[in-house]
Amino acid sequence: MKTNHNNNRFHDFDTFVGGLKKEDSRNLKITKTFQPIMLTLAVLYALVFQFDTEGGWEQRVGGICYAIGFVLFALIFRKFYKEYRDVDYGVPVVEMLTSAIKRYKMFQRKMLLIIVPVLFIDLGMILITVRSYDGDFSAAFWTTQKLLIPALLFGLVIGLIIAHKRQKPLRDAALMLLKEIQS
Amino acid sequence: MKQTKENHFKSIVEENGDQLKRICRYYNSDAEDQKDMYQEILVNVWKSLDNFRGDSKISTWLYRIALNTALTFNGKTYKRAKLFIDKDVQNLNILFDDDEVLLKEKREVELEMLYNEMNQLSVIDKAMITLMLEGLSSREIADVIGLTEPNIRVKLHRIKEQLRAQLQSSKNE
Repeated sequence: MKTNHNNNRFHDFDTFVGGLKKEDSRNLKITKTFQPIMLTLAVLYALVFQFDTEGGWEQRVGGICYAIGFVLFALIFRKFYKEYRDVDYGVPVVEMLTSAIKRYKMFQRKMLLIIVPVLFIDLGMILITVRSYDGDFSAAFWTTQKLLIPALLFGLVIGLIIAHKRQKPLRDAALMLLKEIQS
Repeated sequence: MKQTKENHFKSIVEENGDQLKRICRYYNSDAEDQKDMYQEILVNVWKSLDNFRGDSKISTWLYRIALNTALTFNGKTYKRAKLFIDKDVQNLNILFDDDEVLLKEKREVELEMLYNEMNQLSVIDKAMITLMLEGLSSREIADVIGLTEPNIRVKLHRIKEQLRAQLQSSKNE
């Protein structure tokens, strides 16, 4: 096909490729640095409460729960981040749209995974604070929930607002296009 | 490993850059927008390069990336997808594969009408038209879109019929 557009190559192609490579290494760095941070925090929490001579078994177990929660958060973050980063544009349009619809779905079953580290951190908080309530687990439990539940709800609402604003239009468009292709 | 990817990427862009730029031109009239989309396509080529196993032709793979990018470009293109086609594009006549001689008589007027009618098509129909104008076969279009070849043939036939009917009605008015 003859077209009248010029055949100039990207005038700054090498810089562009350099930018791509930088982006790749930045992505890799995010995953590589985030995980050691979470792991360090996990070890730190575990150790701090293990060596707290005034603390009882509750503190030690609580520290371990914190640590497990952080490790699980790190692993889940890694999984989600990889899924987001590794979108393959080289697949057929139908496949691309189908995966976009799944990716931008507001409530995804995999999000339930987050509940597991949250429960560990919750349990950790209860065990660590129980000493302040003279061993009254019930009081420690309710106090922790009063803090944790509003914080989680706040995070959930913010997440939903962002998803509604950014992801819903993309999902609606992908649904529309897929419907059109398959009609 | 990285060096190989870089060289592979460069050679792909060098050999297929024009094809990708044409796709950008189909979807954008503004030179800056074309450049932005081209850049976005290249970013996606780079990102997807590790997944390319050679199961399909490199050109098919690139058309997939170009089309997937065009359909999701800034999340905007699908809303305002308009085709921009050079009126001297020789391939326009493949939209009419029978004896109707579109390009011989009243060429300018009819092409203008055809151009307008093509922009009334749905986003996906436009996407298929761009691939057709690129000279892809039904089989190749099916590979890019992800539908079966008979399905694509039916759709292309329907698009041609629709264009033909609309052109006829425009001529009669």
